[in-house]
Amino acid sequence: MVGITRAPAEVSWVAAKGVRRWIRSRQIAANGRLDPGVVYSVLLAVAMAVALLHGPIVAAIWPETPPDSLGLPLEVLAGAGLTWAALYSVLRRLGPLTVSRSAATWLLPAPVSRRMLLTPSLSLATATSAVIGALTGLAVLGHAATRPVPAGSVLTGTSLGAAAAVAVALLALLCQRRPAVARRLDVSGGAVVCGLLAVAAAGQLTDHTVRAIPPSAGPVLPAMALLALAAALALVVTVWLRLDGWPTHQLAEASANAGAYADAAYAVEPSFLAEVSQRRFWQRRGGFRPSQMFRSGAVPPLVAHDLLITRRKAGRFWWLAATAMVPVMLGRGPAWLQLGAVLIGAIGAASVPTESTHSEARSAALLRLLGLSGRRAVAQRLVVPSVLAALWCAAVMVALQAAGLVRGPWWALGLVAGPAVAVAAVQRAKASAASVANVLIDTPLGAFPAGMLLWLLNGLDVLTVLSLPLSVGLATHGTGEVLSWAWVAVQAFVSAAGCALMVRWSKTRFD
Amino acid sequence: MEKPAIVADRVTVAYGPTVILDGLDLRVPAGTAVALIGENGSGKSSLLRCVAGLQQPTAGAIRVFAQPPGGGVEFWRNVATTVEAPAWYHGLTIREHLELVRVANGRDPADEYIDEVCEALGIAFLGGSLPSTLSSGQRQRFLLAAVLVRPSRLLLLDEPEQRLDAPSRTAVAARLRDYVAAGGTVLMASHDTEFLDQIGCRTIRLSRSDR
Repeated sequence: MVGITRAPAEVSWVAAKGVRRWIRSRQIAANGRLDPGVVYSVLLAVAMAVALLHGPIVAAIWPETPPDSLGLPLEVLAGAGLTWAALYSVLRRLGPLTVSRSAATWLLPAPVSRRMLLTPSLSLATATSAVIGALTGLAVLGHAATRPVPAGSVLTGTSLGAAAAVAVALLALLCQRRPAVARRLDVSGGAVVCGLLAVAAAGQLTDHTVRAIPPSAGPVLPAMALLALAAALALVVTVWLRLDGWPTHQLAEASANAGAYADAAYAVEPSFLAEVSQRRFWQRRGGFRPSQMFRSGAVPPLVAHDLLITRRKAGRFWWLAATAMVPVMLGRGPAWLQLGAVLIGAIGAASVPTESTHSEARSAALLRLLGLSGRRAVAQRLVVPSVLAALWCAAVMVALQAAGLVRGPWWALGLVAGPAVAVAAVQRAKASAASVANVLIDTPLGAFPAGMLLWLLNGLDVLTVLSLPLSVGLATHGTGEVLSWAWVAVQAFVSAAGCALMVRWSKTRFD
Repeated sequence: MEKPAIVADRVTVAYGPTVILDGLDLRVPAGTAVALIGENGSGKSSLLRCVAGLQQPTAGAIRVFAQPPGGGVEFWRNVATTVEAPAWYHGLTIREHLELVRVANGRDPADEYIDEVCEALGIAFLGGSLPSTLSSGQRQRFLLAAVLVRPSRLLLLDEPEQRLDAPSRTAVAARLRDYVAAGGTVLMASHDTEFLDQIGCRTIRLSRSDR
């Protein structure tokens, strides 16, 4: 006799552990217990990372030369803040609470205990944050404390750092649960980073320090630090106890995103990361006020489009302002580093509205629908990125001038370099890693797709050539020479020529 | 006699050894609507793609308004199509997409034309939504609206009735009938004879060459 399911069927919660074990046993039956190739790859990657990076990391956390005073450099303090901000950003992008995509499809809608299902993800996020926080705290101590450092100070530094990082993880969890809070925190996060970079730049230029904790503070401080860490961990336990109440859609969306990031990492396809990031950015936004931008007819349609997109991304201006501080911060470092920061920051500013160019390059149907030639489209698409890059470069140059690092009409050089940077940004937006090349390079670990490397370099060749006057000027400013207006005129000519050539070489047909 | 908008002479389309269209002749007079009907795989979409210049026929020649179909801007100022669905812009609402299409084609986005089309297709209430949030049926109506709000002389539509509910199908049919009455030409592929009757299309049946 065939059993009939009665409706409503009785539903009882099933332990996730048992379900996972059942799935695992089926996977082992099908694929074997462990792929030796995967173990080899992971071990080799870890060994290579340790061999390459352990020296600089140890030096950054615990410098060999201890500070000669109890002062804590401002840039170290800002660096710790920036590490926690970066941790927040990564956790926000990865969830932080996720399950695998197959678990999101099959187990999230099933009566499986959600708390147990999400325990690994929550534990991983908390443990990773605590370790990164402890290392950050240790690094602050390493740059502030004279040697020898008492064990109590080490305990205080690591515990406080871990507590702060776990608090950051809790904030990321709150953002995942409450999207309205997330929007506000994301915007203010940009302001915080901007402020921290300003502090770091000021620290670099003024050698200012803040008073550090004396090593003879006694047992009170370590006890308070441990208490702070315990309080943060107690909050994590509270979150864990309430995991069964988390709505499915928030977990499913985060799991899908984390899976997409994993795909991008596995396929070594960073342009896909940018695509995922953009889709997430716009998915969270909606309910726009109707724009009159197209109706006004004051500017060409694609310029109006770029202006509209730029206005809707106003929250990202904090990040642009923050990156404008970086070249000032590197003012006393090597010229090539400062130059790199200027060029990468400028191309970042110019790239704010260029996702539309990427859409058009991906789907020629858009331009066919609009009835615009590639040439007209490129001419219009260059306008807003040029303005953004010009303003960003001018702001950087004004800041460098205010810091006394350069002399002469640098602000004008920044302004006229904008269109050159825009050409590179538009060139970059047209390509994806898949479209650049599908050349495979053989390595001992297997074939490696070269598309990523080519995509990373795409546009930089154009930028290098077109911003040559700016680059030469920045590379040689250490000589103390005053910038001449002739140099500005050369950059203006090169920028104009770059724009003209890009428009001239754009397609007039939709082949 | 009315000058033909589309002329296809002995058009053959083959994918490897499989011949989809074998020496097809077609004349579509300007100001008329013609529907290609036939079972799946009979070559309706392939022919539409060839007429749009998105695919090269294996043999034969096609002329659209006495010119070879191609990638030129002038061709696409005359021709609007749903044969290929575009990837929409991130961050632009439905209404803003339609305004952009209209203004880029030299028309006033502030006139009431967009409102009329959106009302007729039942997507007026979606004006502030992003394309990524639409259902498949709404996306189809949005694509049709984008094609209808821009000026054109020839519409190439691949199963425009697909995923539409009955009232929307009637509204689209009425729009297409008005388009033809105003002198426009329509070439479409469809499986819905009732929809084609509403437009008043001449039908051409394509059959698979293995039948």
